[in-house]
Amino acid sequence: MLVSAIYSPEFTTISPDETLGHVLCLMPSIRSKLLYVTGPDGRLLGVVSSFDLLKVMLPEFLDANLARSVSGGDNLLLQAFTEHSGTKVSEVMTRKVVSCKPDDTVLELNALIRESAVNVLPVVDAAGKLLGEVTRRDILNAVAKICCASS
Amino acid sequence: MFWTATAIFVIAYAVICSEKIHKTKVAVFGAALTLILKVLTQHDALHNIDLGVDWNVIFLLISMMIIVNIMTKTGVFQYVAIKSAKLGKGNPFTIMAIFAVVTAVASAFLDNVTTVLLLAPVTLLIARELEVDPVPYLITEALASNIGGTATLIGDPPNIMIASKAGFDFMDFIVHLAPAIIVIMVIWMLVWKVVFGKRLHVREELKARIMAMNENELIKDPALLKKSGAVLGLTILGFILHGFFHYEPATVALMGAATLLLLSNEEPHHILAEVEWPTIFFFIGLFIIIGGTVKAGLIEWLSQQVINLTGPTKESMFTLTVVMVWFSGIASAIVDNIPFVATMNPLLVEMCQKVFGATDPATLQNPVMLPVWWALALGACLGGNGTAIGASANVIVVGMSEKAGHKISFVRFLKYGTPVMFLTVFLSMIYLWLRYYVLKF
Repeated sequence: MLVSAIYSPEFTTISPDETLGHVLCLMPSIRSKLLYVTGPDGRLLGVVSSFDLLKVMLPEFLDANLARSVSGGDNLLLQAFTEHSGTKVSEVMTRKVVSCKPDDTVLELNALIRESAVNVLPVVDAAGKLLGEVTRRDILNAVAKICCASS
Repeated sequence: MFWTATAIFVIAYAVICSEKIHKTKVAVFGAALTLILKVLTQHDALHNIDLGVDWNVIFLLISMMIIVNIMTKTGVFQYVAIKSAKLGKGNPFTIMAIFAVVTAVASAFLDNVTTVLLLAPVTLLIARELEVDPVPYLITEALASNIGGTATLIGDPPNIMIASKAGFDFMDFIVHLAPAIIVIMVIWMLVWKVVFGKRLHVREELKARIMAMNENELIKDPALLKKSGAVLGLTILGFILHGFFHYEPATVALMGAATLLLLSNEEPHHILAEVEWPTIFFFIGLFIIIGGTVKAGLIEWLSQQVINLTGPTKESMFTLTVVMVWFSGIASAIVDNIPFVATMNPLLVEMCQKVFGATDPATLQNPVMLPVWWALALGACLGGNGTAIGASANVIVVGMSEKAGHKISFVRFLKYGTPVMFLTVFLSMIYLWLRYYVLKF
């Protein structure tokens, strides 16, 4: 089975000059897992993941134990929002993006996802233009389709 | 042989100072060269304590790292930090002063890097809650850890090395250095009160955020805390008594580490993996490089220069003491104090041989030599405060602060560190002069 049969063509793109404040508020409404930062020619420049945003918005120095001592904590979030809402997307996005092609096999895709320790990979064409995204769950669904249909 | 050893020594130190290659790689490579070029035999390097690796230092460091690594898993340090912030009632300067004292006391018994690593996240959290700049707090903690570490044998690696070389026990440091450090801490905090007391102000509602923090949630393993608290307590008691029972400090620390490993349910490979092996191998490499220079006669030649320059006699080494405290202080601000002390130790032993004709512990610790050792310890430990690269605790604090979005430039650290270094080294000089040359007790 090939990536082309399982990926989702739905994705949201954004310009690298957008601000973090805008992106954060946009996040709940988008349907793709990642937010794709593209240039004017539609080429993929980077991605913004939940991880990238949480890293900025939540204090990274807190470990699970120390976090338990904080009561509430909303003020910490609002403080971080004031501080970072003007930051450009290009400063927080992940630039080194591992991607796959529609004609890659699912076996290859699964290994790629595992090795790059992510849950989602963008699917791009030979020219680097974004076509969609594919998740671990898509792979699992494909596996289920093959195995469970035959049993 | 003289020139081979000197070349290895000079090049290794130059590369370590340039920070182009990791210092551990340089030290281990220098040690390997020392052996392969037959400056030292492997037997000398590994089995002769005067020329090679000082295993007392190595095992003391490893054992204390094991005890502390297990103890950090209990959450007790975070508990103490939040508790002390609440003790300061959310007042920003009081918190700064209490954190400085907590850091100093903790650093006297744990290593400085561990202390600041544990305290920095709590400091960043509290500064964020109070909406103040965390940088003055973090730098204050780094400075306090270097000052506090000077007070005891186990507080700072230079002291461990000096103790092993001259045969001092734990109580010698408590009797001779701890009083100096208490005086220095008090005067430094008074100066800090003048500098920061008026500048730090926060609104009452922000103070309430600190008071609302819940420190009781932080102890995550009460059973392990009891065990490790008991072991640390007994180990410190062991240090206090080790001279009396004729045990080396490393024996006491090893007993503590072994007991805690046995009592805790932690996997040994996790605990041992957390030992800072790069530091340990840095020491091993340095000991062998220095051993080469001792055997080749470089250190003896240097000690003759020091004698010519400062004229130590059997009656008094006053000039040497004063030169030593300032030279060590300034040198340690620029280069790592570990290689500095590793070089000065055999140099002082050679000098003792030239002046007194013997190097047994009684001669090394005689009342005329004593202030020189303490000058070395005070200068080397306190000098580390001078620059952002002067001590490992400074490097760690700068790194953690930058990661949390507060970059500390080299110059900004200098503005805090250099005055504190000059103040503390000056106070040390006054202390040495008063105690050993005027009051003579």
